Amino acid sequence: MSTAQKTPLDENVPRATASARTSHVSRHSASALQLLKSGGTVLGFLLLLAAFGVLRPETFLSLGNMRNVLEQVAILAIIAAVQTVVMVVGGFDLSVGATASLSGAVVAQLMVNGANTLTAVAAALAVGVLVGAVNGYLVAYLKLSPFVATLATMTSVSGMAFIVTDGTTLYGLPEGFLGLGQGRWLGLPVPVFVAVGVALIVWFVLHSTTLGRRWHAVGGNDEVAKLSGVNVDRMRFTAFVVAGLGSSLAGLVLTSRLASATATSGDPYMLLAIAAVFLGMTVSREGVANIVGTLVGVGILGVLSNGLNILGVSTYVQQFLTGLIIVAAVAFSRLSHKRTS
Amino acid sequence: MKRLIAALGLLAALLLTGCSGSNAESATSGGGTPEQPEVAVITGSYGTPAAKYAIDAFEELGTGKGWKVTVSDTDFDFNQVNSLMQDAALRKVDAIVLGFPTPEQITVGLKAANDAEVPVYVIDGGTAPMEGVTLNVTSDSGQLAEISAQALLDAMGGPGKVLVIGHDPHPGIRLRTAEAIEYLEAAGAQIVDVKQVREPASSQGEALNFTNDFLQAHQDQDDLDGVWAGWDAAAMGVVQSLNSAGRTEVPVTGIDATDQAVAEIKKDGPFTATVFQDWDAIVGRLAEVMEADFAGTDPGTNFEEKPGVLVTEDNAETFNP
Repeated sequence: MSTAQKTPLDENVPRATASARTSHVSRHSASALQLLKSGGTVLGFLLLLAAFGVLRPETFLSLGNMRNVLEQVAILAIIAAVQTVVMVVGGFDLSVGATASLSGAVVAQLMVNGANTLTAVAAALAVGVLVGAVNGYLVAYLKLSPFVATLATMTSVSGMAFIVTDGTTLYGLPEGFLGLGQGRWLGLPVPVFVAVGVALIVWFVLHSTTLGRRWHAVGGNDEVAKLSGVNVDRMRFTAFVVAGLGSSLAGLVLTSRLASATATSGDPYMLLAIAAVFLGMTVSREGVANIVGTLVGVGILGVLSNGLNILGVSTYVQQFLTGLIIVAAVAFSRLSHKRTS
Repeated sequence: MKRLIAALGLLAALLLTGCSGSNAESATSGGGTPEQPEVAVITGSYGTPAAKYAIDAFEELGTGKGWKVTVSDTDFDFNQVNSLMQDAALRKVDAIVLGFPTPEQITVGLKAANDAEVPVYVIDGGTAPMEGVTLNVTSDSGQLAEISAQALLDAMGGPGKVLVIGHDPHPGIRLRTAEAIEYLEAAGAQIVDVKQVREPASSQGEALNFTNDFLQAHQDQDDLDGVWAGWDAAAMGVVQSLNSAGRTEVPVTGIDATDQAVAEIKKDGPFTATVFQDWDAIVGRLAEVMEADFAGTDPGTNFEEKPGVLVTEDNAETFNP
């Protein structure tokens, strides 16, 4: 058969081959683009590291500075990790910062008044669990919106922190307690190990346990989860209890690091933790809260603060830039998901 | 069962609201009496140790004089300070006392008080006489800056490289920071950086992080000779960082003379000096003038400054505020 006498089928074969090749290339390009889009935040993080590294190589990339950054973000990492758990089940917790403040206030007040360190620590952790339980009850069983419930508890918990501290700074804490926030182990600050431990536990539970799968199920579709036999209310309740416990642990580390407690020292971490989790959601293809993404988010916030401090950038400009980067990352991710769907 | 619990909770909330409502009504209808003037203390800064001390001291003084003193804190919401001033003016209280206000932000509340002819007194409000204010008694910010800056120069052994920690949203800290910088530079010091703390609530943590990052960026021991901080909480963060980095030869000064700061000065570490703002003298003077005013004697001036007292290793042991 000559090329001049192609049948319609024959005519289609080269086209089919070409279009198959085109389709194959398109799929690869789409995959690469998708990878870029979903990995954009991680790429942005690496670019930040690279930029600061180029601008201040002898300072920013030094081991001492990396240790600095890890220490500075450790407390945020703990709070953001447990915030991730709450956001996995579809809620969020505005009281995490205030709970950290209250926990610090309780442990400090008890120790200043002569209580044994372990007893004081246990009491502070119990307070965190109680706050989490109240949040969990309000959201899971009374069906209040997480925003309203945790906003209310945040306000009350903050008030309780003022009551416990009587509005003053509590200091003069025992040396044994200070090791938690100021100690070193294997050359690294102890808070880093605490943060890594919490992150690993959260990751393990979310990915490898029935509890984690049920949390994901509730966050994905609570109706379907319920029909599948998951006790949705209990899962939500448990998530908030975890957040309360984690926040109180963060409060202990913060109090130890500062060797003092005030009624408000943990408050600024709430918004930062939520920002870190939202940044982390851009790392996930499905746009859901995830611990790895949260840690990337924490890393971004920490590197940004540290790098800009080293460059001598004004605090106010830092705050402006941080907000801008969060908006850019989340908007980019949202647009990417829109186009994909 | 859940609905019952929710209903009970709602009922409790309503009852509490009703109780507080009736208290407000009695405050509206009753007001003060010549025998028991009503004084509304309004502040946004009760969460800071210095402000809390001063306001508690004033409340105790006023109650001791037989005044009916109420204290309202807006937790750094200075817009709400205006609202509370309007409420107090509406209630025709005998006096409003503002604790640590930012003068530029209280214009609305001040106007309401002036229109209602309710005198407004101020504890540590800004750094200059305020129109519409009957009397503002404040610390002499210039003097605070001067003595703390001089203490730092003395501790450094002369002019050197100084890191400054400030918080400009607070007018007192802003003024004393500017004056300290001027004083230090006039003495030949070099200001290597001025860091602004964003949140008063996290002063110590922020200052700790700043100083860590600064030391990291300037590894040379000659890069820093001293640190001037506008208030003690920030100074504590700096001290922690210096102790941690083993840079205990770098002196730090603060202002406020909090118990924690004085205790730290006694340890003979980097924390060299702080300045005590004599809140007892400030609120005492204010109460004295108010009492005379209630008895019909107008204040002679609407602005008074009280000097601070330097606290160093030399007098920390015997210092008793």
